Amino acid sequence: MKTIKINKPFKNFTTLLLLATSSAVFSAYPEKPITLVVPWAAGGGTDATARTIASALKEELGQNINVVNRTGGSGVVGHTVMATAKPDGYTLGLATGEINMMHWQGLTNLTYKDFTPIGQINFDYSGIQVAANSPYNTVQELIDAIREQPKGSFRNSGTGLGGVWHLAFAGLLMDQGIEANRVKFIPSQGASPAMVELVSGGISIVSSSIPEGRSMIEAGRVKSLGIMSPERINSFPNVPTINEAIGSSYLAGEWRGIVGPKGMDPKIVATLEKALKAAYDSNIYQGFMSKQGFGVEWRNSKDFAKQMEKMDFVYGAIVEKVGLSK
Amino acid sequence: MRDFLIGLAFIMLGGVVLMVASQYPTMSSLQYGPSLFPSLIGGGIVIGGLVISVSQLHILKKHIKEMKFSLNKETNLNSILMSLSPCALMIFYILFSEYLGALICMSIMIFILMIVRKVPLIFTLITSISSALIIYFLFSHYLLVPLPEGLLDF
Amino acid sequence: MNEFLLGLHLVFNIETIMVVLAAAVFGIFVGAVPGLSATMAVALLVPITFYMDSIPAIAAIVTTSAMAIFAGDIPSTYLNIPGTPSSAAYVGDSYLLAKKGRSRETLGINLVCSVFGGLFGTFILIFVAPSLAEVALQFSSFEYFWLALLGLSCSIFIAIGSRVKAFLSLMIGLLLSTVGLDMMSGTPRFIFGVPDLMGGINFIPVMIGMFALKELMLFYGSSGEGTQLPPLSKDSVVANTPRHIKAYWPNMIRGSSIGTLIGALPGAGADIAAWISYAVGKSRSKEKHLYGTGHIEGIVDASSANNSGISGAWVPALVFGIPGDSITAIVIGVLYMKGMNPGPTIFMDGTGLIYALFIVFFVANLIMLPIGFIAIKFAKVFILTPRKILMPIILCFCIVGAFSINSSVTDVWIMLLVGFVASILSRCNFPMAPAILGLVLGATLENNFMSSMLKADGDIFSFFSRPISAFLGVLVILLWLFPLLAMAYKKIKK
Repeated sequence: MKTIKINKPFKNFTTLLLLATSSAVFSAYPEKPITLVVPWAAGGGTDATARTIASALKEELGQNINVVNRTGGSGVVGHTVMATAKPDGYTLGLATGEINMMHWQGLTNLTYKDFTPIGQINFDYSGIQVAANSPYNTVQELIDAIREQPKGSFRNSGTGLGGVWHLAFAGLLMDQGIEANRVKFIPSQGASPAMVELVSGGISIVSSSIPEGRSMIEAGRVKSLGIMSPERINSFPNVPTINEAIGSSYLAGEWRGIVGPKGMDPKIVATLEKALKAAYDSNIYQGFMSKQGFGVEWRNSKDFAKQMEKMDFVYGAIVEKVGLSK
Repeated sequence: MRDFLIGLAFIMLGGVVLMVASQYPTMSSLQYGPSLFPSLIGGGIVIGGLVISVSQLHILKKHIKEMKFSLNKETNLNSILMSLSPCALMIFYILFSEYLGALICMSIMIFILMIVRKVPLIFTLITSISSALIIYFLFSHYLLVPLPEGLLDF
Repeated sequence: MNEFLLGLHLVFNIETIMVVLAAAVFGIFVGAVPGLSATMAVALLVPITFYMDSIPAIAAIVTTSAMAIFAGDIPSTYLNIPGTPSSAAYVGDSYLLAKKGRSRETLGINLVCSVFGGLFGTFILIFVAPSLAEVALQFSSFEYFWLALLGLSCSIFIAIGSRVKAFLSLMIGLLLSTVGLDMMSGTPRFIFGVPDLMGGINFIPVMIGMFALKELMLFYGSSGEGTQLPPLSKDSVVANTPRHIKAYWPNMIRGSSIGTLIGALPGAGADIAAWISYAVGKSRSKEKHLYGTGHIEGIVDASSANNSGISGAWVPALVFGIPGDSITAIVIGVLYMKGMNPGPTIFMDGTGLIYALFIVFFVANLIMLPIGFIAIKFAKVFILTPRKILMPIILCFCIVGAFSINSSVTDVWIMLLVGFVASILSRCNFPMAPAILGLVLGATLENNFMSSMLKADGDIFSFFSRPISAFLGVLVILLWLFPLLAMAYKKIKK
């Protein structure tokens, strides 16, 4: 960028050149269907988000977007596929916050630097859920009880070891000056098996996004005590934020965004970014997300990169303190 | 004899599993590490292998006395090689499908397998190409499985 | 009543009926092709259902999954290759019957049992879903551990021939299930630097390798036409069905009840239901010795159970949004996408959607009767086509089927290696079915054991401290002690 700024005539020249050749090379993009890799299973929340944004993006780009699920290994497999694809813009991926955590735990060498960010399309904050018959009715009561009762009398679940909901809750405890291991973490395969354990009495707390527990909450089996977000979310307006409940400004959750492999052509990235923003604003996407209760948050390519960098730092610190880092 | 060797192979497999499993880390946050189950399985395989081998020992002794070492009379080398042909073609597919494309690879595989079974040439040609085409289109166009396209671009 | 009429209206229109018919044909195809399973069929449907209304979308999934589970019996009968893992429990029986020239009779009773099981499960779903879901919610990791162990034990005790070999086969399956990232600690195990293995080994390539590749190698290793099945002239689909129903109707009801209950438990699906039902049937039968030798009774047990399991899995999915098996795990996502949020509210939203859903279940299971009948008639291509033409095509389906799970050749490698080892083992009379169950249940067994131990701080007795858990635990221990006790009893008698 710097060299171009200095050589203004040169810049103009390249622009001209680009304009001349772009009709042949770039305006053609996309000229065939695009593959969107999803690192989580068909039918899940991430998959649904991906399929919705894909159908909105199809309207913008005029090409089919094939959603391919590459599951397994807590997201390692799918993210590896995204990062190692040809950077020609025909293989993109829906990256999730796990790329900020996996490498700290020694699961993979991939970091956010191995991707070309295109745009962040969603952010779900972590909620704190307990069984409906639990004696605790506010986050404050729960936190106090964790502080007072002997170590290990509370058990938390919601995802695998070192997953986003594990770290979010551990981070909250540390924010409150409690050692993270006062609450025992029981790994599970996801939020819904954890909800079953919560109701059958095997564990005492589930940290996960609130929409993931919606049917159990509506069935009157589970109650949500609080959410680690800056303000209340529309779909669950009765759930107070952590700030309202205990006066902490702690925030945690899972971001999702569209990325490509490292080294993509900036022109293609710009095309995609513009199309993605339009798809993000479309009724298809916004309607779906609000119906689901999923949070929407837009960040363009540049801000998304900064966000990933920041979150990487935050989660690295939590992983370190929980004792999972390698 | 055959069972005795299989038993030995299982004992070895179990040993390797035990060895690999013993290198898995134990974690402070979990009392029982990731090595517990593989170790149990490895142990189970060793014991099962031992039971099979030991139960074959007396038969083996008899064989040694009578100097009978033929592994299996009815299988000759030719039929063993032939039985490996599906495996060989599978390796061919794995290695070349990315370059040649699934369609061409499958046609070749069907063609070879039919020719070795002496199906008439014309019939083989037609069936191999048409069935490969049907399978290819079913999967890539209706089930949306991204089969490798290779040389042919459609 | 008004809601019920609305529901009828939602189902009986051109679009939905066309979708059901198309899905039925699709399900038969997927089930009958070795290498594609019901779960995969549903996963492949998701992108298509995206563009449909809610009821046709659900109708497509329900019909496809029910059909695929039935159609899985077709290749297991004709080729000794189970089409889906749910057929693996009785593949030996079906194939031996086909060798006796009774393939159509077998498939006929299979079809009737599948329809009966499906309808039975649907009735349970409609009338006692909330209370059954209540029971399912009593299950925590302790209970699931015992249940998984019960299923695995069944696979050894119903095996024909050496129990040690069945045990070793099971161990191989369990070993394969440990490949990949360990759920509890996130440690990668047995992946040998291959990132694709991080996600673990899928059972489909393993199953294709164990059954299909084994048959292929057997065929090309022999010089003849291979096992030729007798012609169909005297074999009728329906002639013997009434006789079998008359003889085995208690098995149908028992199998369906077991199937629905196990299906309703989150984390246990149609495949486990088929195994447990087969084992229970064998232990209660007057003709125990005939099981595994080509006996209709075992097929009745298991094939009623696997289809009722498919319906049963919807119970926790609809009531609590908790998947009962791998199919409903996908279904829940589709339901959410269509704005039919699972949970108690789905039963009282007043738009008739839930009635439409129930009607769809009936339609899907009833349509299985004619479409399944036609499929059985068409399945004679498996006999009419010479094996030298059929086998190469099956090989291609196997490769493409294995590839399509993850769009990766790693699965083709897995199929090749597993098939190679399996063909050696099966020449030495190792049964392959326990390995499949070991792979399917391995992770359930391990994860539930580990999280139970973690919750109980390593106290083994906690596995007996909850009533259901204690009951299941005692059951498993009795099952293991039974052969010993029987032996001791015989000795004392002597």
